[in-house]
Amino acid sequence: MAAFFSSLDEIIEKEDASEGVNLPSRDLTQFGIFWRRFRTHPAAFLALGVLVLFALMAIFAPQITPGVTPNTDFFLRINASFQPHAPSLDDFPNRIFGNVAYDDFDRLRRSVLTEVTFGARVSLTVSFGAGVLAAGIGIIFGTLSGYFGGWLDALFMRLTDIFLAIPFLPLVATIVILAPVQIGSVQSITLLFALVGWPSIARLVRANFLLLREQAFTEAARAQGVGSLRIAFRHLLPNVLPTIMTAFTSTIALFLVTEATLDFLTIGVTTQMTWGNAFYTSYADVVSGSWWAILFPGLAIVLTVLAVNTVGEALRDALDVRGHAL
Amino acid sequence: MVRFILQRTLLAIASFIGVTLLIWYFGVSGLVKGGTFHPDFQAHSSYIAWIIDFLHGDWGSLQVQHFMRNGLVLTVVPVLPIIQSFALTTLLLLIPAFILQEVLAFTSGVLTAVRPRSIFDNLVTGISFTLMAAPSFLVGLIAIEYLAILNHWLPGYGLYDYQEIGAIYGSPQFWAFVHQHTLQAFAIFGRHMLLPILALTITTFPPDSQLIRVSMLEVLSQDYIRAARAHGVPQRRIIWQHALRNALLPILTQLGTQVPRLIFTGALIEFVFNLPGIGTFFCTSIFSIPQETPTGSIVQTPRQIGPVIACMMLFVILTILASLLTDITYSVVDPRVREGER
Repeated sequence: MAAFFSSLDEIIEKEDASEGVNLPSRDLTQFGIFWRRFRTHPAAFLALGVLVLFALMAIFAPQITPGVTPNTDFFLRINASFQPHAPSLDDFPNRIFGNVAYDDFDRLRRSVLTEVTFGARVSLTVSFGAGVLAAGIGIIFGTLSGYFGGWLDALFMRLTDIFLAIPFLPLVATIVILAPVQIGSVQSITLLFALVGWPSIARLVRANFLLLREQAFTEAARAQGVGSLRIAFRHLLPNVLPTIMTAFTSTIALFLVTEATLDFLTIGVTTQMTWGNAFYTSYADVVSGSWWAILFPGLAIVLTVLAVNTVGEALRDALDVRGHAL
Repeated sequence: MVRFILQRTLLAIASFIGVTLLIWYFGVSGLVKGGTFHPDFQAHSSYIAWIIDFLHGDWGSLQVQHFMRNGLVLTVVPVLPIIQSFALTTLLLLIPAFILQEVLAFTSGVLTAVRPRSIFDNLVTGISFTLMAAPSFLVGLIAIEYLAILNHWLPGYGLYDYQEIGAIYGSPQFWAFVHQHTLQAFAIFGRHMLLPILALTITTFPPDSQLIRVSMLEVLSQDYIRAARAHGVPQRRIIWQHALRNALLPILTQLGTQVPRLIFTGALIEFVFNLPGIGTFFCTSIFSIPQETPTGSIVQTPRQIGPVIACMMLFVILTILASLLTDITYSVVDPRVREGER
């Protein structure tokens, strides 16, 4: 009997120890709990470092590649990029670090480093900006729909069904192609992504609200006379936020990849260099042998998306509200 | 059961009408608002007329602008024959890629679910996440670069080399060659398609693989699996006969969105590999290319809206068909759905 209970204790301790955290100590602030759990994911710190690195590259892009004007009209760049160009190894340092004028047609100056640093600006702006906007819209709609229910909820479900039935990339591509206005600037692409990408987060918020609405503390708040909106936004919403962290980061990753693909098809951002534009303009060079022209932008995209996903997973584990022992 | 299928079919037709109405409003009638002449406008002035013409085979037209000395020459070509001739390549890409992708997703998903947290699992999951992080065309580009250009192991573009067949794609000589020397033609096509099919499969199997893995893990922890194991049912039969059938349900619901994603990614892969398919047709018609006029100025050729709308309609039809098929398959596989409809 005693052996049974002691073995139970062993199992509990082993489970706690396997999480890499100690049993509760003096540090019991919310942030302390979160930080202790987050600390057990070393990969997330590496990922955060990668993201900070890209952000610094984006901010200091003009300093890293001096003497370059990246805001060349994209369509002129397309024409200039299809020049036959026999590659040689002498090109390699020049093409990475130097500014290469392709011909006198439009004084195009471009190098792989320029593409990566200036492209980081656009890609990071679009994905994080649209992600935050989409999350904001989704949270508001999901809260209203999940808490109040009724006809609002039914309408909302139909609306999100339409958006979620079609995969995100073809939907956005169709909208950009068929739009009556030209959607080519960073701001309009960000707005478009936010307006098309909010349903998934909204559905998640609504699902959580349906559960939270029935909890005792909601009833208690209502009994004390707290207004509906206040209950929804001040009492219930903070409980929902941790669970949507993963959806938030994977939305950001999705926006990043979608924006790159749209740029590759020349229907995304057309006013500036982006990582997707780099693929398009360097396609001819790649086929003629300059493999580095797609390696570096490609590596940039893959590393950024992996970093965002890793941070998202670590956040999900750290913000877990299941409530077992620290 | 029949009523369920009828209901779903009516829903499919209704969504077809809804989506084509949107496409018509923003695409076809938008041609009028754009102010530029387009031959499609003359023929279709209302949605009903346009959709009836569409169903009769008039899928719009492609206009090619030539800047001549005296002015502008517009050559107008109907789109449907072009799409029909390009369909062979697209089918040759999509069908093997779909089959291969499903096989790969199932095997990797099941194998990683059966050995959770092993080195194999971590390796496969890591590779899946990395592949999911890359944009769809990037895998294709890298594959071309490494296997075709730097190493010359496989051809990196096109459906065939001109010297091998001696005819332009779509010409009568080409089809004559294919009909006469079918085996040889398909051997040539197969060798050129190996890399695109591989690229498309690698791009599209990771999400399915992860989905199967998660759903299998959930099923394998259920009580009835433990009961079967306790009864002495061999592990292999448990996995393939008992667990997989129940794990299939979430995957089937995703199949409705996997098909449009496969088609769209296939279009990108076709463009990257220069295959003469419907995907390249779509991708090249959404570019607006700067063209030089005889006077020396650069004019931006507007994008070809006719082929874009035709390809989009094809995409919409295939998507709706795929989701209809998914619903019907779901009702066959899951008896609860059938009961619920009673």
